[in-house]
Amino acid sequence: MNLKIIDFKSYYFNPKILGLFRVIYCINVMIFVGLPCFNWLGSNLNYFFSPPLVSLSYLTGGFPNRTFFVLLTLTNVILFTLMFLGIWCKWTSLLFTLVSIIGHTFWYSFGKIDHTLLWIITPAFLGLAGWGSFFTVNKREGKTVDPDTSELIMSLLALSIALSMFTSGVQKIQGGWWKWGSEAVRYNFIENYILNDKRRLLADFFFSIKSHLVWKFFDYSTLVLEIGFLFSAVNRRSFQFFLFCGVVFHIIVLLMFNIRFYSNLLVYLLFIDWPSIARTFKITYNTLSQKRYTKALYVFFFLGITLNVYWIYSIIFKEPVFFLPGIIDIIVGSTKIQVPSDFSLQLLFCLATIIVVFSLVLYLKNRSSKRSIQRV
Amino acid sequence: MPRKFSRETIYFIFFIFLLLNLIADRYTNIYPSLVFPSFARAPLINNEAHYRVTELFGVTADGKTVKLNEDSVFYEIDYRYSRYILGTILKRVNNKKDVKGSLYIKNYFKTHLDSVYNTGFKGVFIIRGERTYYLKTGKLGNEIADQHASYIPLN
Repeated sequence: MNLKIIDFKSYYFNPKILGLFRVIYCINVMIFVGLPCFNWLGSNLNYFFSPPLVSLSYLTGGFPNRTFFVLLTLTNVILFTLMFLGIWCKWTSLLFTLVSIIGHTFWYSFGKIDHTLLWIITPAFLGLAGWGSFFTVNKREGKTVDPDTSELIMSLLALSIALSMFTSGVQKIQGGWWKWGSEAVRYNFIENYILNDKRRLLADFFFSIKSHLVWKFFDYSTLVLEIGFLFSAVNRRSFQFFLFCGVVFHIIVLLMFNIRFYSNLLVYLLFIDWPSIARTFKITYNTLSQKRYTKALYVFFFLGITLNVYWIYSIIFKEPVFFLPGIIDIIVGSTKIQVPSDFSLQLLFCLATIIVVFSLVLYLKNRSSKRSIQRV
Repeated sequence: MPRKFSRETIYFIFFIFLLLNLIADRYTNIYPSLVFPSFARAPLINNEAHYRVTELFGVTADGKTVKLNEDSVFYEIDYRYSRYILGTILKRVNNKKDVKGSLYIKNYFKTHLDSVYNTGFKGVFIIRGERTYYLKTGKLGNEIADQHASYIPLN
């Protein structure tokens, strides 16, 4: 089979960039999100056990006892720490994904599935693509994955992101979002605003909008974005454009619906235009070496290990929680949280906004310099 | 490392696998799945919009009905699932053979309502139905239409 429409070469990532992204990904998780904690689950909640029809949790026929979930959470934290430090990175990344999925299988056994899968499966993809070859605690530069395989894995990750957005778009078409008479975004927004009482940020402003044209614009632009995502994945450049729009979309969703799709933001960053950023900061792949950044790297590793030890202490000695808090939540004292706090995630979204604006400026700058070179 | 299949073939197989996942998800819920939330409902809203709701009410000792905050009642469970948990209770509570389950849910409500509201309740109602939002007046109707209700006595 020869599907030339997929531009695999465009999905080439220098292994040093992948290593750097591993560190950034883990730091983002530790600062803004924290790790899910499964020890609030247990067999005492079996009356409410209602998993999706296809779920691993049927293997146990109910919630296992709390000890199982304590061990599962501990394993998850230890795997995350090893992955961050780059120790046996391929395997720890794969196992981190597996253990997280097992934990969430039970978490989502109350009649509803949440959609945070992207940030959980990303380590598995990137572990295979070789994100553990550089910037590790053992200083050795590991074996890199051959470019052909790495490009394939990265394009499959892009396809997973694109298809997940596409699935949402397809369901919207089936639900009738395309009909001129419906105002789907408004319908869902009113439900969120009135019934779920989500009225923060710009919700009041959006609630005051009555124009059919404006609401249809939201409906159609959402459809174009979600459906178009799938086709964009054939090439990294077009995919980057859709990711850019995707970040803007998630920011609007946050401002309007107060829903925080942080899971996607953590992953989108991977596909940013790294070569342009490197050029802007005058960094070459030769200068981007572990030796040069050893001190900074070890400070991060030390802080990361400290946080992970605190998490392990919390799991064993403190009351069950839903999330092991990130650094921001620890600083502001929101340690008993059901999801990462509003403050922490809003900071993450602010950072995403800055990166989006920076990327746009960089793109426009590159474009204008290319044009002036062509003129010369 | 030499691969048995070309990159294109692997990509294609993966794509088909994800598509099958999407098709299967139309008929049943699956986890793990890459099918994202749809917010697919898009009814024509001229003057009013209808919403499916599941709500929890407590009956006080003097017979008054009070709306309860289900997020607070199910405080030890992730609050985003409280509405779905009410749905599960609705399904289970009418099963007369489930004596152990009935006893469990009665005790659960007793202890949790006592700790949250500090008031004795005679029983709780779970009501599933449809609420109407009137766009012109900007108000939510009080009535729950098309009701399906269950009463759980706590004495």
